Amino acid sequence: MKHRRKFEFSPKLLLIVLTVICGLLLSVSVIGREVLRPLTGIVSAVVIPMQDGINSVGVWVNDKVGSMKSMEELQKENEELTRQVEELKQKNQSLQGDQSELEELRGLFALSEKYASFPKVGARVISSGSGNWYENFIINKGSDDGLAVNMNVLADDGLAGIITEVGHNYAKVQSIISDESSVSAMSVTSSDTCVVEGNRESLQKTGNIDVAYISKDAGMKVGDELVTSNISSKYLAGIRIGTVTDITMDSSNLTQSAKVTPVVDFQHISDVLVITQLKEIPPGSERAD
Amino acid sequence: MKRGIVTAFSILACFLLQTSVFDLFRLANTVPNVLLILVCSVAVMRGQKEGMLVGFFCGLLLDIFYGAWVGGFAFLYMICGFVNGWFHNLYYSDDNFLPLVLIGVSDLVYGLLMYLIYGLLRNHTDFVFYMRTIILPEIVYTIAVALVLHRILLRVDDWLEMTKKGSADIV
Repeated sequence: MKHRRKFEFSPKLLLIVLTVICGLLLSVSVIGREVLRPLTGIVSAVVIPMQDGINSVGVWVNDKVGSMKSMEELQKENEELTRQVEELKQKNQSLQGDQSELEELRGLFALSEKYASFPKVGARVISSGSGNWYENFIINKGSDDGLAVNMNVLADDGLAGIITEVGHNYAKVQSIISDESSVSAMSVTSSDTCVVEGNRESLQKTGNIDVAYISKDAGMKVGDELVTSNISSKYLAGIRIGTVTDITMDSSNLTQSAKVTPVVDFQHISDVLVITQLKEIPPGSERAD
Repeated sequence: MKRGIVTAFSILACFLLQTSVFDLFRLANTVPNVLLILVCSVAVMRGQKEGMLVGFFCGLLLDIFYGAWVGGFAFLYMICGFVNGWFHNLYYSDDNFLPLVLIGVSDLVYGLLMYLIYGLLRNHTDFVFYMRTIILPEIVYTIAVALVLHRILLRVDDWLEMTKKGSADIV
């Protein structure tokens, strides 16, 4: 009679096997993430609809809670709003005057591209990161809706981030406050170029992110508006980023750095607009960001 | 087989809890590390092998959606399962203290590692800031959730054991 020994995985053997698998996956994903697309596709087909569903329930609950505001609050709000309407009416009149002037100047600069005219797709943020350490989020539209990598994402009429990965039904967005992000920007008033770098530590402490590589004799001032620059390789020109708050000379005395307060409220980001037009640059040209 | 399906289901449920449900209920701007609770609980209840497998798949899910490279989180969570599995021999099923301590310590180590990767390597040297705003709140929130979640996982485990024994009796 033959004695058959049953083969058992010992924990250490399993540890080695799984480590090797992790190593393989890591090297594959460093070489080219595209190879893992089938795996990602299957998992996202299961998970994304669920995340989407949970998110819509959450939004619905929030709406219900919000609609239970008391009468008094609503009345107060109404008064406030009527006052604001009056204010805005006046402002509007003066702005209309400015508008014609602006159009004239735009014509002079031949800035035919306005980001208001770009084709856009609305999307909802369904998950803002898996934990507490990084600032990427996932939106509920993907390549099926015409999204692609490197498309710009807007929120609150300002730049929120850029798409770094798309699946059929989702897209991953790297926000501009994320530490990995750097955006080539310029000042609206003085046209000085600089680079806006994400910094979540400083954002959480002071509400600002970093601006670097401002030329030492640039005329940038506190209060200047920063927009994406026309030399950026990935970002369309002229999208608002934020307001400059604080400029200091670097210790090298060759460049200045500053802080910028983003237009977008990253704490409460729920709906975004994706510009479905990619910046076109000639192949082989130098990249600014 | 049944255990496999139930475990796969609980991994998915915990992933959705962490990334969607608790994302809507952030306290002090943090979400609890639900997947870590699952890995620690399974490892301490069932032993190293199961802990490692559950850790591997939890990490893989995170990698696919949030990681820069696939495999990083899978490795981290797998090691967590391996280390926590050592305490399997010390554990009784009515002991609620040991798993909670292990979950707390694991989350602390996880936080410190994350600080190394996402903080220190990016030249953010203000450790106290990260400790106060991310690591500590996350530990507190995680342990609070673990108080409930570990009980549920324990019930599920008991139920699986019971049905297994039942079927064995019939045979």
